[in-house]
Amino acid sequence: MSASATFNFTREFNASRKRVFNAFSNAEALNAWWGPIETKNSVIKLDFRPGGIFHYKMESQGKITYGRFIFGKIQPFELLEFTNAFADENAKVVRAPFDILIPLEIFYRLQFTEHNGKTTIAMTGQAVNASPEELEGFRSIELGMQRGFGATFDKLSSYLERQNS
Amino acid sequence: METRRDVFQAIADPTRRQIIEMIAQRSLNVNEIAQNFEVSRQAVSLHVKILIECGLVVIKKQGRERYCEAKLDQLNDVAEWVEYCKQFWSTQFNSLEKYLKKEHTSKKRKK
Repeated sequence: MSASATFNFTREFNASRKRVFNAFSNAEALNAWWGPIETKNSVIKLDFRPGGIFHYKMESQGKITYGRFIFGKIQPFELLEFTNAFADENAKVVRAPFDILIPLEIFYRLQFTEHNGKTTIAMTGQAVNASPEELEGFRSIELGMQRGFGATFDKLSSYLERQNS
Repeated sequence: METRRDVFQAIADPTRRQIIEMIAQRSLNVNEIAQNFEVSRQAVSLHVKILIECGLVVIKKQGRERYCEAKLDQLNDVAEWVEYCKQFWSTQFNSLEKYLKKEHTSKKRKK
């Protein structure tokens, strides 16, 4: 387990790197795919450049929550960095609207590689300004993943299998 | 100062994480645990004590032996949000995939 270890996730898409990358870069695309499936999502503001913001709205049964990205490095078709957090209507970071201890804000780094017309996104996530406890919890996760601590991971893997089938 | 005793404190130390890993597979007594570490038995014993205080380990007596048994329920608190994250991104990427497919098809139609 590396000292800076974090949340790792990989996914392959049957599309060119350019198309996959561009799906993050414009409001039309983000309106079409970004956001939880159980909510109606819309882009409030998108400023796709380093330091720029993506502020979005999630609506479900009259309940409205917001989220935001702040973009970091942007290297077209190769690398995309951003932080993601729940937010209020003014794009100020707020705690998650559910009862799970999650870091307030998570820094994501997505690397895009293309092979035979397919694109892989390899992402890492890391807590931003987390308390030492949050950070250690974060770092310890891989251990838990490997050992299969708790039924949650069984649930997750069957969920993922269902998604893949 | 009051010492923190919760699941995060428990897993914040690499030796304690290794101890949990070990006894998650089968209950062991402190001597058996200590054999796997270069640190002293006393040091291991202290880690076990902390794990007990954090509620991740319970002592079960079997005859004259005292076995450390892992109680992993609490780790779910930590695991829960990572599961949330993974599920969240799986779902996001499913939507992205659909979007890419649709975009592709509509482009083909235009041609």
